[in-house]
Amino acid sequence: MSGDGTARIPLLLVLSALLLILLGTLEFSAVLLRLAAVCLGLSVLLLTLLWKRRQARRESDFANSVCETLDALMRGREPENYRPYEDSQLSKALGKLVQYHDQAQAGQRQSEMDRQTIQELVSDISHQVKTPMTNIRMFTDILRRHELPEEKRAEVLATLAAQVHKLDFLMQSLIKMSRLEAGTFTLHVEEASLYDTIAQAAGGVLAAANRKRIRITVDCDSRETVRHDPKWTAEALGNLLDNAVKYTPEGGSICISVRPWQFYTRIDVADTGMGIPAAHYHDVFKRFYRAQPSAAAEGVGLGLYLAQGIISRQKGYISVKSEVGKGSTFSVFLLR
Amino acid sequence: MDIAAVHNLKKYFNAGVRQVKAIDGIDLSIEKGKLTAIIGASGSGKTTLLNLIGGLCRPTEGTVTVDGVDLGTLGEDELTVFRRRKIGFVFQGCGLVPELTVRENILLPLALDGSWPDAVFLEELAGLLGLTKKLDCFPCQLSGGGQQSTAIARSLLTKPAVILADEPTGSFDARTSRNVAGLLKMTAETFHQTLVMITHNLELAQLADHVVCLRDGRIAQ
Repeated sequence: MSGDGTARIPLLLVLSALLLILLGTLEFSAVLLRLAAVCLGLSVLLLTLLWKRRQARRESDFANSVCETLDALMRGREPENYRPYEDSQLSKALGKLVQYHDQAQAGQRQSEMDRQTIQELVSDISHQVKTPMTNIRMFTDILRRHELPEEKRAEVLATLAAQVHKLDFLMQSLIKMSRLEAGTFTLHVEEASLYDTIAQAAGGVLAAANRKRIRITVDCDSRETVRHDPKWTAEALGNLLDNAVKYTPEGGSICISVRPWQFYTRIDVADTGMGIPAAHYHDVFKRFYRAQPSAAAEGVGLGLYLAQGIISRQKGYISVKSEVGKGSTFSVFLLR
Repeated sequence: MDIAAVHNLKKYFNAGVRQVKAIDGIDLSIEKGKLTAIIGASGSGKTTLLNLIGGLCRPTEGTVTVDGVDLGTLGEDELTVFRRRKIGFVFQGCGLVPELTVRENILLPLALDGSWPDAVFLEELAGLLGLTKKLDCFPCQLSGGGQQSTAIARSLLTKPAVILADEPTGSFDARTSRNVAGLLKMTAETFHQTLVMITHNLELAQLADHVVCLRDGRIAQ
């Protein structure tokens, strides 16, 4: 606690006293001067001792306060001596300790939440797998036990294939989700063409869109580049487009537009589908969420959840604006 | 876990012979590490509520607790120190000092507290907000969005318990609003900060984890 400057003050005073003694030997009133010098020297010595003792006590008080705070934090109690509103060095130091402890606690809470998430996830997965598995078992039994006419047999096989496809789709989505949640996929962020990424995403839904006579238009400068992971971003955009195709009626349209902004590049995916009520804007990004009217359409409720996860891992975000009966616009914001 | 809470909060102003009930009995909890948006029409009490949470004004009745401290028990000087250490502010008008560089503006709250900056954190923050090459510029040399990014960095650098943003995008066009709101959310999320943002823009409120709607000084159901 005592700095070099404060330690030099008593030294200077002792030197002054010695100087006075020296002067005293030269002057006429030598006795008086010598006496004054001795008194001064003794006072300086006393002051130095008192100063040192005070400093030692302050250091000890500081250390004790830090220890008390640490003890309280380790026992999970609120530290009694921490006053974040005090303008002192001690309050500042204790503030850092409390902040550090809070961060460690937050880490523990996150682990607990992760554990809970995994439990919920297992429950959700078993629920999702149950229906196609039951159907597969039922249709396999029908095929095994009954002699069916060729036409009926083909129909049951087609249903069986659809259930297997659904299960496969679910498993693929779950693998991606698990990689996303566990953070095991590595993003390869690079300055790449957004046009190519959009083309890759749109290519995946083109056949389904053609079947429903849905027109897809792209408004994007082919020279437009942005820092992103092309593969995963195409996956996220693909999920948005997949939803747009699913929920847009026959003959509708989907428009993809790109606008470079100051901090973000905005990619809009606008459809002329059934729309989403404002009250469900938040819900649509939740895992396994499926709105009632959309329950009939194929899907497991992971597409938007995955898309948001992929984009937020790249420090971007997704928002939605919609009008029921007229269509929805999902906007992806990629950090420039 | 809640980082801030208000209980039975009331704030009345005297306007001549009439008494204006700006906040009229609000109970609210702000969850740690989340983004809470406060929405409502003009005059619904949004800014007054934020000022009360931030200790910028005293309530007529009720309590405000931030990070375990009841603000009503603090004197003016203590409240000033508490605000400096525990609360980050982002205002509509940025509130930057024009004579100071971007770096000096960001470091100002720490300098006032006699503290040293966390150099690594400053570097990380500047990188995330796109300010690395602009640290030695003056605010007037930046765009509106750039100035607000500086204000965001300033509010985050002290690692406060809660950041209060009063219409941080209010003076910008729709495009810059989305830009700045996105940056604010992204940085708060990256550094696990608690953010309370006032907005009248329902599209921006969508970014929040929790939305509180005020009407005539009360929470609308």
